[in-house]
Formats: sequence, C-alpha cells, structure tokens
Amino acid sequence: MARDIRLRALLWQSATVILLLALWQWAAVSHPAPYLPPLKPVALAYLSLLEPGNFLAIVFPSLYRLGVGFGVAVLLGTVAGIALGYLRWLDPWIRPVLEYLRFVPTVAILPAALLLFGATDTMRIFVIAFGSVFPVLLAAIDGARRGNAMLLDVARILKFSLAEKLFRVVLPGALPSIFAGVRIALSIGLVMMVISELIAANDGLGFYILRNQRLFQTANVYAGVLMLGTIGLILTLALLAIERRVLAWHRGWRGLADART
Amino acid sequence: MSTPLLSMEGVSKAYAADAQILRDVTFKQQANEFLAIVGPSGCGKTTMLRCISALMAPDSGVVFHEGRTFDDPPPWLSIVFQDYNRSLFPWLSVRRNVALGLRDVGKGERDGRVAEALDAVKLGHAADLYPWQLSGGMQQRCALARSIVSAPRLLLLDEPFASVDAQTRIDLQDLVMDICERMSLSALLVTHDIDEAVFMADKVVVLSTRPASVVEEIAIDLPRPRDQLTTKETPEFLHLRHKVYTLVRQQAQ
Amino acid sequence: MSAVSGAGGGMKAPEGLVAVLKGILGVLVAFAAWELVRQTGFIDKRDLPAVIDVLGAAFNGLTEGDMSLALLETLRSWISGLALATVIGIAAGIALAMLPGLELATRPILEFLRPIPSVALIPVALLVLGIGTSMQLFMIVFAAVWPVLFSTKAGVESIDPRYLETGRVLGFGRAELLMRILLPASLPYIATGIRTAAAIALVLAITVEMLTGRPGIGFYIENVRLNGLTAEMWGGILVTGIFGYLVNALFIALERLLLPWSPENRDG
Repeated sequence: MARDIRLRALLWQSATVILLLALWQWAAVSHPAPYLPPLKPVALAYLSLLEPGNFLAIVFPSLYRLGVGFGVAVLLGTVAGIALGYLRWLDPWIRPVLEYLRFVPTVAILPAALLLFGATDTMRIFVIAFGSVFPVLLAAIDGARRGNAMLLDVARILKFSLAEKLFRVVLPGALPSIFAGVRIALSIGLVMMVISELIAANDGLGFYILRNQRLFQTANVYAGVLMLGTIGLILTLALLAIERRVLAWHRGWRGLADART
Repeated sequence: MSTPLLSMEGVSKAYAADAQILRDVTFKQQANEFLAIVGPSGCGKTTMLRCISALMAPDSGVVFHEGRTFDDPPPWLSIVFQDYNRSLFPWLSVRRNVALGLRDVGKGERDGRVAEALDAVKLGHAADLYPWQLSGGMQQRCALARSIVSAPRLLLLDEPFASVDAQTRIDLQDLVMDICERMSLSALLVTHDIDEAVFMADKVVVLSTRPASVVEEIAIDLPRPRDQLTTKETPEFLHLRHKVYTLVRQQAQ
Repeated sequence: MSAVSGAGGGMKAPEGLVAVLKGILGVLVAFAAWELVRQTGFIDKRDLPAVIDVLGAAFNGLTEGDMSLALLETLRSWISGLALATVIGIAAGIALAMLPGLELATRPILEFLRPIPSVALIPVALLVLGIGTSMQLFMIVFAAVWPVLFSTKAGVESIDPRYLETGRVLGFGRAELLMRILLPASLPYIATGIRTAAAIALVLAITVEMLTGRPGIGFYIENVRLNGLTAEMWGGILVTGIFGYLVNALFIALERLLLPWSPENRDG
C-alpha cells in the first residue's frame, strides 16, 4: 500500500518534470531567443563543467573559497559563541554591537572588503566568512546560554575542569542550536561566494556565469546556475547527514520530550 | 565521638532582604549514618542541599565536611538529583554517563568499576542505551550508578524518588538502602515523604517552614535490614511515623 | 500581588539602566578597537577613516541628500518586492498545504530551485529582463518568496485539525474556513517567514544595485568607493546596517502588536 503511493507520487513527479522540460524544449525550438537555449547544449555545458580540466579551473576555485570562508566562520562562530554564552556577564556588553552587526545586510560589506583587500581571494574568503559567521555565533551563544544549569552542577560535583565543562557539557548541549545556525550560514556563504565572484574575480563559477552572460553563451549560463544548485544541494545533504550522526541522541531525546507534552 | 562526616553550624541563606530561605540550620551527621531531612514542601530543602554540597556559599554559618570547609564540592561527595532527565548527559550512553563519575583512573580499572556500578543498580543490560531510551526509574538508577562509581563517602539524595511511580519508588528505596549497607556509605536523603524518611533513615531531621530551621532530630532505632512490609507494620515504625508526621503538620499550619 | 510586581518593577529599572550603560560602553570599546587597528598602520589609514569621520559622513549623507535619496530608492524597491513576495508566498504556501496532489507534483521543482543561491540568477535575469526595475523586482521576489512560502505551508500544516472540525461544525464555507481559521492560525508562522524574507529582500535589492548600477544605497556605497570617498563608503555601510536593524525591529514590533497571542510573544 505505502509502496503503491510512493510509486504513484514518483510517476506524478516525473510527469511534471518531463512536461516542464518538454515545454522548455518546445519553446526554445519554436521561439528561438538568446535567453532560451535548447536543453541539449545546456546539458552538454553542464557535463563539460564536470570534466577535470574545467572543474579545476571553474568550479574548484569557488569551492576552495567557500570551504575556507565557511570553515573559518563555523570554527570561529562556535568557539566565540560558546565562550560568550558561557560567560553570561559579558552579554550586556556585547549584545548591542552583535545585534547591530547581525542585521547589516552582508553584501554591504563587499565594497569595504574590496577596498581593504583588493580583488583577491582573501577578500572573497573574508566576505564569505563575514556573512556566515553571525548565524553560527548567535546560535552558539543562544545554545550555550540555554544550556541546562543542572548539568553544570553535576559537572562541579564530578570535578570537571573549565575545559571539560566547555567541551563536555556546554558544547554538546549547544550543538543542536549550532547546527541550525550552520545550515543558515551555509546558504548565506553560498550567496556571498557567488556575489564576491560576480563583482570581482577572474575565475570561479560566479565569474564563469557572468562572463558567459556577457558573451551571450546562454547555455553556459544555465549550466553554471545548475552547477551552483548542485553544489548547494550536495552540501546541504552532507550537512544533514553529519547532523543526523552527531545529533542522534538529540532526536530521540527531543522526540520523547515532545511525546510527553 | 570522632569528627562528624558532615556538620552544619548556624547556616543561613537569603536571596533578598525579604526572602530568607535558611535560618540558623544546625545538625550533624556521623559516618555510616543514614540521615533524612523532611519538611513542608517549599521550605528550602534544595537550597540547603546546595549549601551542603558547596555548590552555593551560605550567607553566614559554616558547613564542615570531616572538620574542614570547602569552596567546591568535596571529592568524596556525590549527588542524585530529583530531575533525572535533566541531570544525565543526553548525548552520552548510560555506560559513558556513569564513566564520567570516574575520570581519574586508568581505562581498564574504569571499565571494570563502571560495570560493577551498573550491576549494582541492575542496569548492566542497558549500558549502551541513551538516557531517553530508559524509563524514569532506569534513568534514576543510572544517575545513582554515576554517583556511587567513585566510591564516595557521602551520598546526597535530593528527592530522588519523587518523579517516579509508586512501585518504582519502593524498588529504588530498597536498592539505595542495600547499596549504602554494602558500600558502608553515608546517605543524606532530602524528601517530603515521611514514610520514606522513617523507613530508610537512622535519624530524621525535621525542618520548619521557610525560613527553614531545624525543629527536632528524631533517632530512628528500627532494626536493619528493613522490609517494606514487616518493618512498616511494626508498632515502633507506626509510632515514629506518627511523631514525625505530627511535627511536620504543625509546621505547615 | 500588586505590591510584589511593584517591587519587581523598582528592581528592574536600575538593572535596565546598567545594561544600557554596559551596552553603550561595549559600542565605545568597539570604536576604540577600530581606532586601535587604525593606529597600528596594519591597514592604510585612508582606507580606514576615523570613527568620527565615518559618523560625520553618515550624518551629512543623511541630512544633505544623496545618501538619503539612495536609501529611499532602495526602500521603494525593497517594499514592492517584499509585498509581492508576501502575496505570492502566502497564496502558494496555502495552496501547497491544502492540495497534497499539487504539493506532490511540484515538489521536485521546488526542491530543485531552493538550493540555488538566488544571486546566481542575476545574470540570467539580466539576459531575460535586461537592466531595469522589473529585473530588480524579479530578483527580490524570487529570493524572498521562499521563506514566506515554506513558513506559510508549515503554518497551515501545523494547524490542529480540531480547529477545522470546529469550523465545519459552525457551518463555515471554504472561504470562511480560509479567512477565519487557516490564515489567522498560521499567522505566527507567516510573520516569521516575512521577517526572514525582509532581510533577504534587502540583500537582493542592494546586490542588484551594486552589480547593475541601479540607483540605491548599494550603488551609492560602491560608487563612493570607486571615487575614493572612504568615509562616505563606511558611513553608507553603517547606515545600511542601521536600516537592516530597524527593518527587523519594525517587524518584531508589528508582530507584538498584531499577534499578541502568538507563542513567540508569550514568553517575553
């Protein structure tokens, strides 16, 4: 029965996708326009992006910047957030500055980064890290502050050192919140990666898309966008898989709490 | 008499000028003594426990552990809290929760003693489960195992049986008495259940309403081992229970 | 009871004042850190003007025209984009939640469009729509519609079926069911979605301005940078941040005012 429903859902979904693709193809052939390339060249351009040479020249620089910037943001946000969340007395001092910084539309920082670092990878990594650090930082502060006070009592009875308190009590307790922040940070990081490459770069996917748009190589433009979507999807799935592993305890625990209420 | 295991001398604590919780609390606990503290609900038992365990400093008065004062919990003290679902680390398995109580010994010895503690609370079969996979009674037994694995001298029990059902409570009472007996462990039980206090303890300390102070200390000279049925049917038990009950009820009025 | 709350209020006022003072001191420390970085010479002093100059440039820009004009332009495209995204998002969200068949059939498309970083479509939008108002509007709507759509869907799906049964017992028709139960019950979710969408819409408005030179605060910041007016550039960034902050504060205040029963407003 359940399999039957799933099969029907799959049929419907494939039908929708095929219909849309057919519509696109028909429109592209019967009403040729520069912005409406047929499916085949788009698919070919997408596949060519996966060839080792092209991948290394076009996709890899983007991934590298995202990896470093996002990694720095997650690390920095977690460490600083745990510390700030644990040291509650600091909160009133830093809260206004943080509340201001978190709402600065991150793109606004781009010209400043260009001014300070020039059109370099440092600039792009900085912008990606700046954009994605705040969701992680705020989530970590929140998670650390909301931590369970009784566990800290238990930790004192068990003679935990400060490092043990931070790494064995506060950090694990804050992880569910941190992961939620990291998911938001990933999408912001992707956006900042693309913007920084659109505005000033000579390689990377953003640059590739913009250059092909200027050359009216529209199949390449769509292929680049598709590739970005693929990257976003894969990274999101990878993050969810990590989260499911690390937070296995949390799902069951929360599920039980939900069932009680 | 030798130095008492625990001695509270004139301990007072207030959260604000008009919110005094403890007033001049004084009592002693000897080694190998099972002490129960009862009082009307909301009288400040939890605050007192935090002062005893040095998680909190009193405003005035002194808490001595074996004749010394401490700023941090003494190493031979351990606690079982009432809220088992908040005092266990949800991200650690039962075994690793218990192992946290014993971090300064080698791995080989630790594994052995953790297994022993789990067997003592009859939780050996559940060692690899997470706390949320256990019933309330099992979670509380896990917390108990974590408290005894380091072979402490003083076990503080903060209403440890208040959040479990009646049958589980009886089982846990027997288990705790049995463990204290076998490990010659002193226990300090804070409870609002008078039956439980009289049944388990060697001495019952009755507290007044807030601000709490000691009203009376009553020696419970019932023979051990005690049994849930026969002990509770003896005239001595009924007499002591009546006495403590009357005192507590006078406080509540 | 009133005596107790009165005492609590009396306690709170100085505490609040202390917190405000600490906050102001925190801001001053941040300014001092800025000056310190400037004095080290690690970064060219021309690129990192004194805090007082930045504040001055922000103030002048706002009072004497060009920055506030740019801000108004951004505000205009932001509001129209957000309004359109809200309408589309709520309608689509309710439709997807109410019509499981539609949700099923369109799921692959939604799941495919969602992970694409919205700004990557700017070049595509340039191809199709060229540089202009409609292109900027399209980009804002495309990026901002998702949070509204998904939170509306989640809101409708979270409604306790007993509410709907109550509505049926009361003899509500489809329209009444929608207006009296579905919409109000999912409003707290929708409000959160709109708040997220507002921030995203602002980012998109500014990005399009920067990339295509459309008038607005994004173009202003980029333009003063190209002209070497660094104090004006930092001033523009400062003002943009304040704008982003105010937008969020405005939406939170509106939620408090309009949805006092929302779970998010109860605990405060």
